[in-house]
Amino acid sequence: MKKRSLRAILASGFIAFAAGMVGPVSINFAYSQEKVITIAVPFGPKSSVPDPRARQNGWLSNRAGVSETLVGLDYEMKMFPRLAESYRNISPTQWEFTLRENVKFHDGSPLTSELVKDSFQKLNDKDHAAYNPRLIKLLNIKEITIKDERTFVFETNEPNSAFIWSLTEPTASVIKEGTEKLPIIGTGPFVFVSAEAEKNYHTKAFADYWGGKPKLDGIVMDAISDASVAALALRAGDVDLVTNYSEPDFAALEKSNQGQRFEGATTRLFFYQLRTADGPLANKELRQAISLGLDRGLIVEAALAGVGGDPAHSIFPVTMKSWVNKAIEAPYDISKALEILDNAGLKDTNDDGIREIDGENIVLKLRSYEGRPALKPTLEVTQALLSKLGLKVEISMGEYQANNDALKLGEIQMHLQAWGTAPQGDPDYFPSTLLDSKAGYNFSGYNNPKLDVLLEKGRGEFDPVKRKVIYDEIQEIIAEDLPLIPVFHKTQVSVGNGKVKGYRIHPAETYLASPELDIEG
Amino acid sequence: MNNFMRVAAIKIVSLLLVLFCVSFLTFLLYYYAPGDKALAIANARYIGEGSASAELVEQIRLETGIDRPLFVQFYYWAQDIIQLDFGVSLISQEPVDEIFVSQLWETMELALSALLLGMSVAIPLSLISVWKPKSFIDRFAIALSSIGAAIPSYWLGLIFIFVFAANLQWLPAYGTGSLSHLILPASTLGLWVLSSQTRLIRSFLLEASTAPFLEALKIRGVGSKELFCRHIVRHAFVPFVTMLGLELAFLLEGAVIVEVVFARGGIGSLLVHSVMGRDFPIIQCIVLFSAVTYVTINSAVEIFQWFMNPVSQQR
Repeated sequence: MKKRSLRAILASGFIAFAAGMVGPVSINFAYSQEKVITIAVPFGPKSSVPDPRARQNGWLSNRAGVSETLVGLDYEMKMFPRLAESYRNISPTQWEFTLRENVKFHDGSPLTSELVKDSFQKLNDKDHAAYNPRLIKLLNIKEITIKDERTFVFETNEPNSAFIWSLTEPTASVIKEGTEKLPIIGTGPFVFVSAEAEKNYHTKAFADYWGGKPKLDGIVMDAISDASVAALALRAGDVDLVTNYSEPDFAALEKSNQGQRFEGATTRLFFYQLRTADGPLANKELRQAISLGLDRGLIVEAALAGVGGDPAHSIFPVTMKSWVNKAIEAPYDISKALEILDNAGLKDTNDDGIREIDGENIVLKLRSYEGRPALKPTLEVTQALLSKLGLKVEISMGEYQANNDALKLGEIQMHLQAWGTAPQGDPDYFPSTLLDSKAGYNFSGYNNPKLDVLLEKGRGEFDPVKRKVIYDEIQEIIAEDLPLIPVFHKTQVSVGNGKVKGYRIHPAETYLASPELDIEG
Repeated sequence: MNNFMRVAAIKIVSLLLVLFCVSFLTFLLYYYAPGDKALAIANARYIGEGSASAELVEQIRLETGIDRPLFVQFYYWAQDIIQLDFGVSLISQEPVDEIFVSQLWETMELALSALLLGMSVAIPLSLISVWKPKSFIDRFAIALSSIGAAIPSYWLGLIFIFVFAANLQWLPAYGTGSLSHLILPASTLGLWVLSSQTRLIRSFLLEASTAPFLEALKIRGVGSKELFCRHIVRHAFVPFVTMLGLELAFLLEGAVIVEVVFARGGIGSLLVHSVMGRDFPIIQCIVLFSAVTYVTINSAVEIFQWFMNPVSQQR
């Protein structure tokens, strides 16, 4: 009797657990008959109605095919007319646009010059969800003049050759005022249905899309921050495509020639921003030795399993043919690095294994932040590599903005970051934001009047051939002065379930859904 | 009863005092956060990755009163908090209380399911383990509590996804929305509850079984079954309730790894996203909630303990 009661107690304890594990087997997953693709993405929307013009919401809505810009970027990072049929520069500050015919908003109304003007004016309205001071600064629009229903003129406050490129920025999308039923009214091949902050983004096909009816009925973008979980979700059949697949897993698939693999170079650069105004890295020879001591190939091998990136020489990847200065090289040459350090008098005089500068041991504090898996291993490999130069390196992870503050105060010497160097395809954004002496993100304290002049000249030059010469020189200055050290350009790797069609990785990482995107079966 | 009212009143006063101190400390966390807060708010609210203009930062400085003295800022902040007005998220511009409540529901769903799963096994397992020392069940309970404590939730979560979602395809690998989405995360967290609670309940029971009064009861002829069920279990009940309360409080905020692994919402992942985005109003709301939860549950448990203890009632 005693035994039976013991068993009963034991069994009752396990029932709830077992019921949980066994019960669900009978749960029937009611998949819709519609042709919907589920895509795992690493980041989700920031709110339940993310206006594509605010913050960087447009990056997601552009990828989801909801919002569109007047001008787009193709897969070679070249401009193409998107909502605009044509555009021309009528004076250094004036750009005339003609809208494409038969473009409809998701509520069925036609795209007109008036609605384009209204959409851009909302960027400046502090009480509107579209308020975007970053884009206002980038575009620097003085006035929008309507000529007729399909023609209008943008006038900028100053001559700005980057203006047209800035219009490719996904937040510069043309959006009509939303309603309760249709909170985001764009022009893309897919209509916004719903979003949950940091979780998912749902769309459905827009049959009246100007570029033709989409092959899919809808898209679900699910935010799965952990790449391993996303890979398992693909295997489970819960998602059809993982946009940012784990690099080691991708390398394994590649080795065994399995899986529906996609890979594409992006403009995302992993780089160190250095504190050059004071501290040990005010010494240019030390910065040069550090760059020579970084085995970028090894870092890519260790941090990205050899498949997730290309060692960086300049700030732009070689695939960005319009702007990259191919003459620049950033080789790994430890003998030369040691020679530079010795010649600069940065020697280990007290035999403690650490070189000194001004009588003090060279101690470099390197920091990065969570959010991108490759950052931490890059930091770790860097520590090992720089110790070979006789430098003491301390690494830590922090919060992004706090790291910037620490760099500005000289509390750390190098901040490892990952930025899209040309999200709008124009070369000005990255150096102007980080290296201009007045730039908001110049936490290096770097001040090079020659570079400032060149950057200004580059913004005012409209001839692409002459601009290329200017930005070639800018890249040379960066490679020589090293206020920032490029490490690698990220290659995005994606894996599908074998049924995904019409998917390509865009170098700007801001395009994904198209009418051609499809799934078999 | 008078005695009870007196104890309850003291507890409530001390609870309010602790809450005031916690609120002040929470505010200090924000006040002394490194960096220019106006710039951080500008970045969180409008910019993302980019540079905020000096004018915009200045405008935010004026608008938010960030430069005012500490106590003035705290006064206005506390005034809003008392009215349960936590402001709006700097990023989404949605009311913090609405964001928080929706995430709290998901966390409660996960925490309570895990607690139910874990406890429904931990209680009978511990009882049998102590009732039958050195038996197979006892050894199993010891092994389970040790293994369970040693397995990281992240790893276990991945294993569950690998087995039940990727291979057997019985359950969804991630997400929320149905009972099936809850099973794997609740089991992951439930196993942790099971192991920690089995260890604790077992030790409470073992401690109770060595109490001196048991000898007296034995001499008076009380049977071993009655001794176990009426006296040992009851004696172990008070520390068990204390731990149960704290366990629930921990689960409400400690489920972050499970939430992230299973791409669920919840307070833990909300806190992580908010810290990354420097969304101060949400951070303050969650920190305050955590403190209030711990303090309230602790006080409730203390009152309960007083109620259960005849000796303290006579004082």
